[in-house]
Amino acid sequence: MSAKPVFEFVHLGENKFSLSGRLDASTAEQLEAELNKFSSAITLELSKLNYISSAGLGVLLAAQQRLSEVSADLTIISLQPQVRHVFEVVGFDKIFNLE
Amino acid sequence: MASDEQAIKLLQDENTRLRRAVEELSVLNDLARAIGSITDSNKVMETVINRSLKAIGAEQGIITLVEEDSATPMKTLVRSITSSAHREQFHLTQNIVGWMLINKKSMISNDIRNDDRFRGIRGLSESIRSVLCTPLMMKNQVKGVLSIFNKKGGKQFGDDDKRLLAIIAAQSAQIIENARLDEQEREKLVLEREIDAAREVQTSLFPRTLPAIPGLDIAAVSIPAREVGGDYYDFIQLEDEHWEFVIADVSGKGLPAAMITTMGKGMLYAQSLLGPSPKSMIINSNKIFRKNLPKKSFVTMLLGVIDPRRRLMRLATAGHCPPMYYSAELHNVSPLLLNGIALNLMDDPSVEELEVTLQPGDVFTFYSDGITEAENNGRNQFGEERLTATLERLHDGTADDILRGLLRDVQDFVGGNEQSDDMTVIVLKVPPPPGG
Repeated sequence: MSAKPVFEFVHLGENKFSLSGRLDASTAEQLEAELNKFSSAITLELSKLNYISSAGLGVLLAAQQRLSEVSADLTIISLQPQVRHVFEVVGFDKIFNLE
Repeated sequence: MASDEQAIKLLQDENTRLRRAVEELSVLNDLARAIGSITDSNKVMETVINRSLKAIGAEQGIITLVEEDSATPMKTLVRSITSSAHREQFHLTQNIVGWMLINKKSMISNDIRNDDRFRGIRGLSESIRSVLCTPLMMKNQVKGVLSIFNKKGGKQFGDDDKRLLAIIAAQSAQIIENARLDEQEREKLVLEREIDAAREVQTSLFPRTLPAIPGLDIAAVSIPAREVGGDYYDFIQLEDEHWEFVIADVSGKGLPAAMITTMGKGMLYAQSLLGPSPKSMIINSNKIFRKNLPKKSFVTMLLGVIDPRRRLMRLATAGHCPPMYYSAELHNVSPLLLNGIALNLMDDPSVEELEVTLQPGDVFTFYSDGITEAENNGRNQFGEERLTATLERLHDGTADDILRGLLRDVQDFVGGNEQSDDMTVIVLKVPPPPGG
């Protein structure tokens, strides 16, 4: 019994949210459902996100594409080095506002 | 005389007891017949609720199931025959379930609003006055709660009602549980079938045999995860004795990913007729995907074209894991870093092409992220550093030795952890001269 959830999506205030844990195929749907509630600019803080898989990247991509249709930005900040590395290999650093 | 009155009283009591027993039996008989061959757990629960309401004469009813495997033990499934009452009753039943998990016995409250056990419940509707509830027990565990509300005619729930509901619950618990297990089993079967279908499609896309390319020793394998990911590799013969090879990873899993891979394969074979440029193949593939794929899908891909006569290899990537290169000259392994982003991310990405000379003893290892992201129990990843060390240790062997050795290292690292993503590896080795 692990008390800590595998993945968490926490509202930090304003339009800012924190992702923590692991974003993979089993948790990506949860994030997708949360992100689908928004249609204005949002910022995702990833300092507690330890792992992202291609399914996780797919959800971020879908959200970014959806928001860009209404001229809103998806900004991603405070990436851990190994998560940043995944973003860079796949080329997500070129299409996201990474800060 | 007194004894006559006593005898009459006894007879009357006995009569009441018998009538009640007959009533109870007929309710149970009714219930058993109604449930009969129903296998849908929702319908079973609806029937149990309806029969309870009829037998006891109450207005509304709910069965709340306790979710065992949920992160929150209080998470419940709510079924009601009056859908409009869902919201208010949700908080109430949450409280009841909490109480039941501890006390494991029936409970009556004929005045909810002034009952300490329900103090502070949000949004309790005015329409709910009284409740009678009883646990659905299986093997001494509370699997759910059967609750009914508001005895008709403004009456109060009594001990007879409590007894009857408990009998109904005792009869129903096993049936509801069986229907649930049946459903889970059926859902699992459907999922298994889809997984099998996806695996069949994916496996049919891989080459059946590896080509013989002059001056190259080749080994390749793709090991699908249980729930198939979107890995793909292939070797395609081009004009002028050139060979193209590809390793790719479609985002997502299962059938949707397998369908995209199928499309990608067709696209690559069509393009192979156009000429041996990995860079233009990536640019064209991106154009085609941009027009056809959903926007949330993307594909990482690495393409190589081998010219065996001139001992040259040209590489281009679309956001795929960087290949590892063992240089016989430098005696070390380093990643070949190439610019290029995943397919379907943007309209006109810049793509870099790298040309390398194939030197005797060189080893090129291409892989999918299932290798570097393979995890052990401590949630550590195999990673590029371990991959580099493994390849430096193994470079002397044949392509097959290197591939097997690498898979063994990954397997040793992850231990008993289930493989969560497809793992694909292509090893190209330029054999050293005999005796060299």
